[in-house]
Amino acid sequence: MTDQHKTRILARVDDDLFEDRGREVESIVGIPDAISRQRPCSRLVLGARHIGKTEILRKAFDELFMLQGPALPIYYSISTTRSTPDAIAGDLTREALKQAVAFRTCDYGLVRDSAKSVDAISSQSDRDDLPWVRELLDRVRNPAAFIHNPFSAVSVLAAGTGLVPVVLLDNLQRLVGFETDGHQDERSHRQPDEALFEFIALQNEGRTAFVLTGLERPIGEILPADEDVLSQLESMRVERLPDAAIERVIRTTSGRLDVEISDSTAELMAQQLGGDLFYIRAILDRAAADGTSLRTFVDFEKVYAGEVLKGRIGRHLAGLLRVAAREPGEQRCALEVLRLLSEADGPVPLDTILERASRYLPGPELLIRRLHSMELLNASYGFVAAAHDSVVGDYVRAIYRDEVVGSRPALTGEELLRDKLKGSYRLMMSRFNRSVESQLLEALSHFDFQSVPASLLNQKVFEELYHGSSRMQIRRGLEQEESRARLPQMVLVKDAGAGAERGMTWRFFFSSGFEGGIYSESNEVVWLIALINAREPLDEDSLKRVDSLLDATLRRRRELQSIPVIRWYISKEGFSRTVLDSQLPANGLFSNYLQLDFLHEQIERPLGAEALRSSDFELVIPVENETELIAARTAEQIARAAEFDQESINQIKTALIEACINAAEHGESPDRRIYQRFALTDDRLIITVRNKGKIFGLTDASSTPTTGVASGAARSSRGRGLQIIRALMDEVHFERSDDGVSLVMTKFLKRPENP
Amino acid sequence: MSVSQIKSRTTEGVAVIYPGPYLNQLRGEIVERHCQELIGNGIRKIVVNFSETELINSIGISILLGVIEAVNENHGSLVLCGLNDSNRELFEMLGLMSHVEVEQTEGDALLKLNGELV
Repeated sequence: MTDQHKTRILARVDDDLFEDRGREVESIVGIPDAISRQRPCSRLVLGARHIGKTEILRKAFDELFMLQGPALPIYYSISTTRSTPDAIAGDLTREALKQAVAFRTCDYGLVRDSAKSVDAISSQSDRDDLPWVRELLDRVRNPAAFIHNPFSAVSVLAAGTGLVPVVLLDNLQRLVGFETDGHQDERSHRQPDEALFEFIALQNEGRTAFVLTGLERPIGEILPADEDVLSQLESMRVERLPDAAIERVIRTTSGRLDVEISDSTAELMAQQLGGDLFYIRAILDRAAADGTSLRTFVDFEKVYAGEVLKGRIGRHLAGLLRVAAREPGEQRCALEVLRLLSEADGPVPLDTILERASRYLPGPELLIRRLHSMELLNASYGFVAAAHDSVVGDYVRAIYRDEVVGSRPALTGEELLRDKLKGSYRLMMSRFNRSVESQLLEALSHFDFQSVPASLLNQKVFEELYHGSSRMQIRRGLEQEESRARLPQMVLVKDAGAGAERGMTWRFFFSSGFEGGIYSESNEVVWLIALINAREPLDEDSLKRVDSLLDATLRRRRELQSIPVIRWYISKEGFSRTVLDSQLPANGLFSNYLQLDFLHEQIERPLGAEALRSSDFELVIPVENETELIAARTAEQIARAAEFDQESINQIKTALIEACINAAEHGESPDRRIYQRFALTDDRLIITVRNKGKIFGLTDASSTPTTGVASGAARSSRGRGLQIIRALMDEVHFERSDDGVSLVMTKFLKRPENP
Repeated sequence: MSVSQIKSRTTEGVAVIYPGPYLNQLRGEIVERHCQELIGNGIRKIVVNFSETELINSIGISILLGVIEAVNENHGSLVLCGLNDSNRELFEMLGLMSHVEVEQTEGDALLKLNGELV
């Protein structure tokens, strides 16, 4: 990608912070290609609020604009104040005219210019474009004439320019009309959403593409069940970014805003804000404006409480609430309902909610529906639950205290702060659990009939073999273990529920597959897996409790009765001695998190998967007197951690010192620096020494060492240097690169004589 | 890095030099100058004690070879002692052992030189 593509026109987020959404952006940028291959050309981008849908559209606009290819991007966000057919017709046509002229004249500044008059814009266009520019100009001046189809301007563009207009339509829910008063009931003339979908269905010749996004639930309500529409509209679901990606966004953004943040606060923030990019930005902006650091949980929770109560987050949620509940009576009712849900343990029957709500508002059904549409609560199958977005709950409780109970605002803030601090430990635990879960799921998906050391599935044996051993020793022991367990191949993994009691939390997984590499009914097998997080090794009583819950899970699945079921208990700290000695339940598998970690490591991934076990260190030293000692000390630390013996450590240090001297003397490097990389794998340490400059050492590679007595300080010691390296290391070779030569030397870890 | 200091002492007409933790060009040259001074002052028996020396590089070894040569030319005796396993291995590899006497401890080295006196 060239630098040109990095130009930001409508995008608001830096490219490097948005790279995890590259696939979604590419799908839109690839629309012309999809059209040429007769595939659906329009897209429906769905996903939770603040997950980055708008930014995906804006990024796609920028890329299409800078590409100057066959696609003509038009971005239009439907406004709350312009959702009548003639308002949309006029406004959209104006935007389309402006953006198309900008595209044709490569003037991206014009896209953002909202002050320029349509006449000024028109006069800027190329002479060749004048016919369609004039036609659009007429429509802007007289939108009422085109209200039967507010999107017809797009057809004018397609015909006039010969390009494929890609219309990026944001906030589509506003077409539904419930965000403004009245219009949805006045179906006297055709509604814009009908016109839009009709348009999409008709554009099957690839003349125009639409990318639609907005709030998912209202869009679901207006999406017609029309085959012609659905066949042209490919759904794209935008999922929440993985924790690591969100934390990276938090750390990078706080770095750019000069807000100091600790890793653990970044992790807590990602969890508590549910990965919501709008909330994250609001918190970081506030901390930057106040010059507050986010080093500790308390720092963060203070900023959070302030933002929820009277900052950008609070104002945003107040706005959402106003859209759903317009009259004061409705607002009070909404507040009561949302507070009730945020304090309930789980879903509440709809009747209960309606009964409670009707105390404040006669006929509250419509209000509940609107709150559901705005994703402020979830209503389905006769039950109502709080929104997934826990910030909504915090806001509602705080506002309730403030407005209904009448606490002083300062007190409200303190209460929220206290609540959040109490919850922060639990939140961090849930993050930890999730990372263990993903490790388990990843391992299961690669079982593929592989065999692994049997001790990994039997904690008693594992303890006997490796009690008190270091990771490196365990790793070596596992490689030499003779007793191996053959794993099945899993074809299905399902979440079978979670819970918490008696100081432990658990999640069950149900995984089915085949044993022995043969896909037949008699080889079918089911693994019922209990992943348990408790601070202590699990005792008999707790295990019995887990077992009874697993029994209940099994009873619900009658189809499994003829299939052998293996139970795999994985507990963070393992199991108590009594449990391990009894080995009950029979043929159960017992692992702790450490064993799971090793199992995950032992399972081979298909080619292309990253080598998980190697870990690299890098060191750059200036060419100065005795700096090679720093390199030697570093190598010593690494080699010691990898459990090389002292003799090998000394040999590595001596060889590295020689390599550094060679690099310094022969390299003539312009930056006077020596670059070193230490790569540690299971059985070897590979050290690469490189400088930028001429070849070092190469000319000496074949020279025979001087054994005679040397004289003078310049000394013919170079041949000796390489001789020393070759003698002390197990493998030595040179690698040429563009800016120099690297010396690569390897030392193998000696195996113990008697395993 | 640190400014190099080389410790030395003279006992019963024998000079003992301690090159310090790292014998490189810098320290090698100090050892070399010191030996030249000793020879100039008529001292012909020199012990180089490596018991504090953890690392030796090839330039240090080259200089040491020069020192051995100079002592031999002046009809003196030089004995090395206190070599750790890796340094001994290094000296053997580079053929130094055939040019110089090596003893286990400083006591052995002094005994060796004083024994020659008798």
